[in-house]
Amino acid sequence: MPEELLDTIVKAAALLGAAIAMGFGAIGPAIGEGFIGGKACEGIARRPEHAGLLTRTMLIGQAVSESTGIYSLVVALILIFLRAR
Amino acid sequence: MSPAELAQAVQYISAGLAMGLGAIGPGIGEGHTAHAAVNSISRQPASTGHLLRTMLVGQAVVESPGIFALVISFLILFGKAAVGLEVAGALMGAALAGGVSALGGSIGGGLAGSAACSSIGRQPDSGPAVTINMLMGQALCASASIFGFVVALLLVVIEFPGGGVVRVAALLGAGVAVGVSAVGSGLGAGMVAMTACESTGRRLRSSRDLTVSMLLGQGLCATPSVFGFAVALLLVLVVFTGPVLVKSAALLGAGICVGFGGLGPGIGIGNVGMSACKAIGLNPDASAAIRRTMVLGAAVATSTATYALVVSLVLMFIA
Repeated sequence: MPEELLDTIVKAAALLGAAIAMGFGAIGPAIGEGFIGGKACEGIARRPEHAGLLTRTMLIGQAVSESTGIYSLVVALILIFLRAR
Repeated sequence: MSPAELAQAVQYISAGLAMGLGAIGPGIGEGHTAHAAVNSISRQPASTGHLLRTMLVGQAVVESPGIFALVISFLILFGKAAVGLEVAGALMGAALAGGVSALGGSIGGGLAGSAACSSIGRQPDSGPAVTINMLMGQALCASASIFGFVVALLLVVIEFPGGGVVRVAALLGAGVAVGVSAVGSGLGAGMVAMTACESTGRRLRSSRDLTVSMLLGQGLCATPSVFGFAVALLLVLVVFTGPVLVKSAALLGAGICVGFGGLGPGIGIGNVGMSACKAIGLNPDASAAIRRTMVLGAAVATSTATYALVVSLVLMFIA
């Protein structure tokens, strides 16, 4: 196969890979963060006086869950800007 | 096989796909509602009339995304004659947009309907308030499917003169973008409406409060489907040029990215709203604090949908 065609196929594959990385990578962290937020709301219903503590803990937990989402974003951007241009 | 025959084959497959996918959601949603109604009637045969009416009304709202899919299917079958590659791509994109988006709105609406029937079975006095919340909740669930319907209509009606494989990839991407993101948002909105109806049955006094919280939560759930809708509109209306293979992969990828990137956040935000409505039912005095936390938690859960939107836009306009 000619060099150019291979090069084009590789670039197209890189772009599709970026899409799959961010597309499927967004699913998990969001569901997890939603679960955390939900439990925080229920906790506040049980103990409204601890609302501040519960909200802070929720944010910390959600930040940790976000980490794999950020990895997906980084991989997607690397694929687009370092492999397909 | 000549291009005209291939295009016609794709047209027939698209018509079938649109209705086939579109039939799944309403079936599941209406079945879920009826299951709850039958359960409640078995516990309280005296409320049969009331429960049957509520079940039928709820099922009617859940049916509407399926009717949208039927309309799209007929438009695909009897609308434009498929004479070219671009038209075939448009029709397949329309099938994905109309068919897949019906899943979220209907299954979500079914969750709300079943919770409403269970609540009325437990507390018949709460009938009117629960029915109002159920109808409003189901309507907002269907809104995600309406985005899909609008994109499908555009794809079936607009003339696409030329554009080749790049145009086909863009139109398929549009279908995936609006269709799959609507599933997440519809399911999430349904989860919020489900606990809102349950809590209204348990605490009738807070029904106004719960309605506000439900609408707020469902509004937050709609964000991923709005992202999908925006990307789909761009993919349909903007003319993209570039090297064929690379640009096609980029545009199809943009659709996949924002579509599947809306699936998780829709369910996650729905989870936050669902627990918030349940919490307000348990402790109405803390409702202000609960709503604040709901908005904050939902905003963080939306973040990955925003990343997916950004990557989609980069794929469309920069790659």
